[in-house]
Amino acid sequence: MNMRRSDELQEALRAIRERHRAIGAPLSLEARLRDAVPPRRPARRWIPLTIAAAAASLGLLYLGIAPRITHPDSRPAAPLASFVMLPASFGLPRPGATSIVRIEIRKGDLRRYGVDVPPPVEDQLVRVDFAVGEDGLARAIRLAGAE
Amino acid sequence: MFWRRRGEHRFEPAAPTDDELLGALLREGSQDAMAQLYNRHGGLVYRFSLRLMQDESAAEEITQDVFLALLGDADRFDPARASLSTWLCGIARRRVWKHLRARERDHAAVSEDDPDRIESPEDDPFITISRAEAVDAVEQGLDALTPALREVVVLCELEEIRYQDAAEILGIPVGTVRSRLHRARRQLALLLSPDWADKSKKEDGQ
Repeated sequence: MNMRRSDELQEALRAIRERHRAIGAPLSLEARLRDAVPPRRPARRWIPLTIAAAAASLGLLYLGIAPRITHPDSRPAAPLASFVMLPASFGLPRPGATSIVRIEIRKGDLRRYGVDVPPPVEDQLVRVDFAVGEDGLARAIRLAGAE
Repeated sequence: MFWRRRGEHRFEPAAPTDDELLGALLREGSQDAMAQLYNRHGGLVYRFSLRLMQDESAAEEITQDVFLALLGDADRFDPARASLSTWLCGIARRRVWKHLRARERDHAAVSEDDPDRIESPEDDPFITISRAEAVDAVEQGLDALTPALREVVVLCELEEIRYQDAAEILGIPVGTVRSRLHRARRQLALLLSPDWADKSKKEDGQ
């Protein structure tokens, strides 16, 4: 293939790419997929309170006080300071509902949240809880088991 | 020590884990999570299916299957191995090929190993085409490629997916992705007349 044809082909493919990428997923399908999702479990409503209190608890911790809250479902009390606000969450809109999502990640991945992880342990797995808004964006993080 | 914070540095948004978090929310029964995931990845899955199936209703059916598979088999997604879009595209690709093999064609049965069967363009070197005609010719040529070549072009050229991710989606080595792409480009280039560039310049008043 000579250079001229190659350039012409690239130009043609660029135009086709624009047309192609303008095609979106069918809107009608979104509603069907939503309906296919089984009913959700009730959100743990104490989370917004926890997040709001986490920031305020820093002052209390400074004074040597570690307040605790009780979960509505009688799970062991979680220290308010166990959740740490994610800096990337500042400026995000306040979520209407928040859920706790527990996932297992590499300890090294915690660096993206500002946590200093020494190299020897970076490949170890750790379970963390994220406080997540309905937009899928995380607001706060804690180690699972910090409750 | 584990929780000690660093000094000042830039925090990156949690974008790489958004899909994982949305997936977890989806397993908890969040319809909004499904909508978000569909908005993020549905276009890619639908376009890929559409280019391969060349049928809107079949493409929509496959796209639906893919996201229902996400709902049912999200535990099988391994974020360490591939991104969610790559995983979803891989499912779409398997569904597409299942349809293609089941579909009766006028020509021989479809096979991933089929030799290139694109219709040879007219080889008359004196035929010149405009830029718009060239784009249309290449697009028609794309539709006429064998599925095995077309899917590589769709992923790598139209969706601009990395070779490595395309290889993961297609279940072939990266080298095979490159060689198929090369063959496809060579066939498509044959559709362009050697005088196209000259005629385009004349149209532009050069």
